[in-house]
Amino acid sequence: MTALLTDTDGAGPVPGPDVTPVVLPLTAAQSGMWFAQSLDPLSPAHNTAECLEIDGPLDPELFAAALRRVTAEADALRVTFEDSPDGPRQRVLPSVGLPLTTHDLRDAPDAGRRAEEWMRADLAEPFGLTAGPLFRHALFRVGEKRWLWYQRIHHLVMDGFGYSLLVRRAAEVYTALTRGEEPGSRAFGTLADLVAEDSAYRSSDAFAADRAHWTEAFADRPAVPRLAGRGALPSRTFLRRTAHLGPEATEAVRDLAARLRATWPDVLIAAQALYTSRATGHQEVVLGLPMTGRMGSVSLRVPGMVMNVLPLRLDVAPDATFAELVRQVVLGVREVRRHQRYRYEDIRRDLRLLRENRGLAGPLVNVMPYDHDLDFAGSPARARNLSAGQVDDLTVNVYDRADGRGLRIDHDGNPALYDDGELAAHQERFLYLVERLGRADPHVPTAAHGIATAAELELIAGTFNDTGRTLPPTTLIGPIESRAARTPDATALVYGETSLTYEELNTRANRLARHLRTLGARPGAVVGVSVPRSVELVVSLLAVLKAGAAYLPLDPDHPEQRLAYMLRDAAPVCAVTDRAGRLPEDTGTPLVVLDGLDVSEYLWVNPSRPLTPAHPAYVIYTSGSAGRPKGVVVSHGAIDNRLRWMQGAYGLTADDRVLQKTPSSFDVSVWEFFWPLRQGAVLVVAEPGAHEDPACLVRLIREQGVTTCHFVPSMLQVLLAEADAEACGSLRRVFSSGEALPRETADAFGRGLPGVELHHLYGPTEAAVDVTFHTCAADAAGPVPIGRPVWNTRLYVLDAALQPCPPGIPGELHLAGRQLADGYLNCPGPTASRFVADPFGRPAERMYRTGDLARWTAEGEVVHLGRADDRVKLPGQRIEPGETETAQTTRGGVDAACALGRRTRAKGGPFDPGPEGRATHLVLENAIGRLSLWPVWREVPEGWSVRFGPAPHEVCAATLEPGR
Amino acid sequence: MALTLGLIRHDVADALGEVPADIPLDENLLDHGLDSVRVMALLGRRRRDQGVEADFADLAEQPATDVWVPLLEAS
Repeated sequence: MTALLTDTDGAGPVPGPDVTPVVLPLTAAQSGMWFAQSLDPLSPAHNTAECLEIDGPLDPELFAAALRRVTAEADALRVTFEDSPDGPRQRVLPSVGLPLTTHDLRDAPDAGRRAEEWMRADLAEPFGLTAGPLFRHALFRVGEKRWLWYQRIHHLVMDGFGYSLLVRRAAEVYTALTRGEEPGSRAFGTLADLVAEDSAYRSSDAFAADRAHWTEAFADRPAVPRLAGRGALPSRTFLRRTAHLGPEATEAVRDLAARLRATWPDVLIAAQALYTSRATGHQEVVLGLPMTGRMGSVSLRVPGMVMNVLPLRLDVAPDATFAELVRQVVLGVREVRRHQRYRYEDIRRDLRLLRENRGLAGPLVNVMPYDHDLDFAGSPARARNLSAGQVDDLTVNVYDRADGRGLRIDHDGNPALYDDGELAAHQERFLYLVERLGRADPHVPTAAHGIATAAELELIAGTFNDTGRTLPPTTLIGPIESRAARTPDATALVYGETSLTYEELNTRANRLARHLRTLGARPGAVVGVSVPRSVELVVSLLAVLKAGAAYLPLDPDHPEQRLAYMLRDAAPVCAVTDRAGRLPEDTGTPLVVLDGLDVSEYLWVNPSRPLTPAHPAYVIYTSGSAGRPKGVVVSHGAIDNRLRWMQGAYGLTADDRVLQKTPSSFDVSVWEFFWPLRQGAVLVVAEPGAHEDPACLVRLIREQGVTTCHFVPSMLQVLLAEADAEACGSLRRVFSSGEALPRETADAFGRGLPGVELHHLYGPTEAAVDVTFHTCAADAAGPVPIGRPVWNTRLYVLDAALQPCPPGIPGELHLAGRQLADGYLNCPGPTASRFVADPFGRPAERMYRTGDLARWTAEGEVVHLGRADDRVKLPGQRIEPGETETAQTTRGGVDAACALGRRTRAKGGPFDPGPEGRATHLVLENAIGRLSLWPVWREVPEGWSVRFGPAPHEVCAATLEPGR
Repeated sequence: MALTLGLIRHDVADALGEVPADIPLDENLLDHGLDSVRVMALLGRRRRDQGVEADFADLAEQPATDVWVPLLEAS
């Protein structure tokens, strides 16, 4: 590398001998930047830089002369900064030397790359604000007739529009000099003009009016949409990814803008709003718009720092059209422009966001349409931005190249929030969305557009959800009867000292089944079962299924009121109980009391029944939001698919012993009961109440040599304190489900029980127990995913418009496939609203809206992110606040109730609502006061007090009552 | 060909999606939604079609129809 010309020796302030430097205060625009730099003086984050590619002959001496002249004309380039008792000041020096280095890279084989590296290294150098100068130039000759002009300027003294003024003037002066002409007179206004205009504004009525406007427009301090799902402090550097919107697509955008009587930047802003809304799940989004702030101002002719960022609030309703969204942008931007001189920092301060370190706007859309037709004495030049300054979150910079190559789009990201891949994904999706919007009819609702790319859609549909599996059309009970016929003498069930072979169990169930048939049990009918955990419970469940009916578990521990409700609602043909008095007797349901019942006269062989996979196998009641529980009807085909998948995935064998400890009213119990009996394994039945006693369970595992069992994660955590490898030496695999599995619990499991598999499963009762699975690995980090879909099951993560979310983007989890329940018993309304048409499946297929927030990982697993609504889950049990609230308000003296989950133990404890803690963290400050609800604050209305309801509701119910 | 006041108002109205009659003569067009992109688009068309020589800053400095007439007619 040869330095052709080095002028850096004279760089730095060189005040003329008899000229007094002008000292000026800072403009408001500069002040914010000055404070930001002062916080981290060595940070290069506020460097801006541009590279001009000049194609043609260029005289380096004349070029330097032109730059000297421009420097002499542009006050802002000649300032240094100093702190004074009255605040920071800028001193305009009469002259400064020209910090220019030139490099001849004509002979270098990789001239372009070397120049690029030099520029990147230079960009990482901070400027000294007090020493100056706050700019520097470099000229690279990278070919006979090709030059790169690099200039870096501190953002404190120059903005993007200022660059264009400088470059245009440099070209003008250079062109005149090459012709031997005197360049036209100085074209710039002075920095003093800028400061005076700024100061006049800040004491004007317009300033007060603008302040009032912004304070009112953002009085509710709207949430900031963050594509990364969180915010971060700005970094010293930024990531950039550059792409181009092709000429055709650019033309389409321009045409669309013309048809909608908007500008192409309006269309791009609307597209970014649409993208941001879908990617963050916020219908309302606030974008940041960098504005030159120069229209109608002396600053139009002053190179300096004037630009401002202003927030644009948009409502991106999926049922509104894109044309309507663009119109909203046009009107919104118009409104913003009227108040554009008011500083972004001031709005934040007025709204008290500054001290909370909260932002005002999400992604920035920075449109720069002002670089056209530039040449240096006939050598055409093209500007390329290298750095637009600090990046708080994500900035989309759009440059109109006006050279027939379309729009250049730089996505700049804060590296604390995005990696290269994530930034690239956001950019590719945005461009793909813009291309489609350009082609589409703007008068259809935006719901028609998703944000995923074609490749992402194919990945989700073709790879992640590739679960198709041909299975025989069997029922829940059929394979158990086959097994009993094949291994009649094998042990089927152990309960305390009692042990039954497959033949004994089958015979007892057959006799009871035949008795139930006499009471109306048959395919399509429902039979209640209210028997504590025992041999009789298993026999009863099998008997109901053998008769062809669906069983309805009626947990003897449930309140009588709830049992009565279920009996009336489900109207079973009869209900089996172990003893009299177990069930309410005024519901009209015939009771089959096992105590004293003799069925030995009945035939011992399997009863025949016209049962198909479409018939219901069981009805399990879940909590309901409208104040009453709903019965979920699950078909034999659905649960058979679930159990066949489980066997395919985990391969239970005849020497396995499976623990049955989950109450029959929870659907986890379904596989505990029936999976081992289908595979010839042993069912180990725990005593009633044992499921709440960790020590008792550990003893049972050891004494009975249990190989397979299930725990909700919070119970697993407790169990790990009791269990050790020796006590649980027989264990082969443990399943967890029902709650988020904290990584710490999974890690503790791996340490405490090495060699035992831990499988985390997820699924609602509405989709036959579980629909996803994930095997925990010892070396994994981050949240434990709920995993991949089981056989013949599809997972959809959908945005507000029911369009698929690409990997990484949160949305509501929807389920489709063979395991969906038939619906809610006697509840056509809720059934229709939760089980909706599957727009991605075959005609007439349905999908279930889980109400859970989730996202895909790049590897095709799903991560659970909490609830989309306010449902609370306490140790595996769903509680709908609505149900609790209704219950509270029906009590006398209570006019309104507000039910919230309350975290009563540390993270990972039994009442841990999961890593997100969404809307379930309640702290009661005192009897009358504030409900501190994380992540939002919700004030208790004036005149009301807060009281917790009586046990057992106290963990979930807080009641608002009129204050006393 | 010099631009008439009528044509300028038509341009501005077109850029703003309004009707020419609603474009005031002496008011700041920024308050009516004019911005730099629209000014540049308007100027570009008149440079191409009428050979207007005024530059962006001339128009953007005082965005009002009556100020623009002499600037755009100067060609």
